[in-house]
Amino acid sequence: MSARDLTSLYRSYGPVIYSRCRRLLGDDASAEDATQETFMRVQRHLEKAPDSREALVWIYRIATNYCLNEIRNRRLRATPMKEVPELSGEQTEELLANRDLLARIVDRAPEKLRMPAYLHYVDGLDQSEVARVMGVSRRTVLYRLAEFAKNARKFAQRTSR
Amino acid sequence: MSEDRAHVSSFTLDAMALGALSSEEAEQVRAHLSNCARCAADFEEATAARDHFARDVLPRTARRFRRIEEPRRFSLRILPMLLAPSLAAAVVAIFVLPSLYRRQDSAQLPGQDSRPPILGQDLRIKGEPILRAAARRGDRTLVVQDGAVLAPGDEVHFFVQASGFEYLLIASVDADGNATVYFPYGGAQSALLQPTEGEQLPGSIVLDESRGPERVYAFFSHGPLPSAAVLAELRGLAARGPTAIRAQRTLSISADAQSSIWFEKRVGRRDAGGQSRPGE
Repeated sequence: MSARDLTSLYRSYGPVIYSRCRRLLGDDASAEDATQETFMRVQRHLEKAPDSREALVWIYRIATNYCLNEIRNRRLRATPMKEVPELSGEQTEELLANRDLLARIVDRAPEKLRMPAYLHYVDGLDQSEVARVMGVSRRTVLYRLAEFAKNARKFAQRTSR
Repeated sequence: MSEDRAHVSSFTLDAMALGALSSEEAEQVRAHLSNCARCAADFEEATAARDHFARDVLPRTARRFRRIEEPRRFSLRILPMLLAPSLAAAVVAIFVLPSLYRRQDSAQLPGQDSRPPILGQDLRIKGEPILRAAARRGDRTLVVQDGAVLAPGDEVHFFVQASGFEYLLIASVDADGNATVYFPYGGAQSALLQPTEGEQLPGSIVLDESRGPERVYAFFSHGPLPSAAVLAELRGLAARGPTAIRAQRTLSISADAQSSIWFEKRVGRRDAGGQSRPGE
């Protein structure tokens, strides 16, 4: 992929990546910064970029990774999050069906579980789509989602720091 | 649609916005959106964000990624000897009339987008880029302005003033839902051209028997645009009906500038010379 392609990538995929960052981060300014940073990372690794057919998946992964780290950094340095309610064992299924609640606790999970959990439970990607965005096998996604689901209650009960 | 989900994922919606889904997949998604309030709301929110980026963020920030290179260039030359005198006159009319209009502070050029000039661009030629058209019917030539009534068999030629933009993509949509890339014909992305005032684009289109409005969009940019995203937007526009085609002057595509024209295709009586004349 040539240097000239970066400008065309930015024009073609910028709107979609911005929309994605806006969805994850919740405000225009953060989304704009995240989009810029995503394409700066694309620029630094342009020689590793896949062909145009996989470009969306690749840039999507970079953007999601950046945004999830940003969400985590906000949590570590900023005002306390809303309290996560106490959950009993019977309510774990309810938790996994509650997108808003999951979005609040997913960054408390270990790093390797954070992206698959967010993509699947919050973003609504199915397992194949998660595998594709992350560049891993579907089996790996299944294992990580199972581990997240099994420990969701524990993650919810972790303190914010 | 997700294999194990009742809703459409944001990834699938984004892929559809990029024109990366097959027509069957896109149709499935659209059918779901029309029946699912949650996904429809997600889609609307994502569309608004994309529009905001294309309109307000991209013009400010694109230069950061721009590299100066030696592009491949091919030149579109006006070949006056191949133009019939009436078409040559139409070319003059097309580009003289707008320059007269420019002297008026509030005049709106027919078919020209009313947005303010693109910010952050170093235009080498002043003025906004423009798409114009002329139609040949037998031995007559008509300047096509918005709402012009044309007939099957009319031969439509396109002219652009690129105003410093290096890339051009022209595509159209009609009321039957046919979305076509006219320049580069059937191409997968914008073509690089050498901007010169009043360029006539090679070739022409001959109108078919379908009726109703057809709108032709020109997308001007400093980098190539993929056709897939444009075609997806055009099909979405067609799905909203003929009124939308007549009214939608620009699309939410990340081009630096757009210009469009629409005309009404009608089948009318045949005159004594056997030429079809559109009904009123």
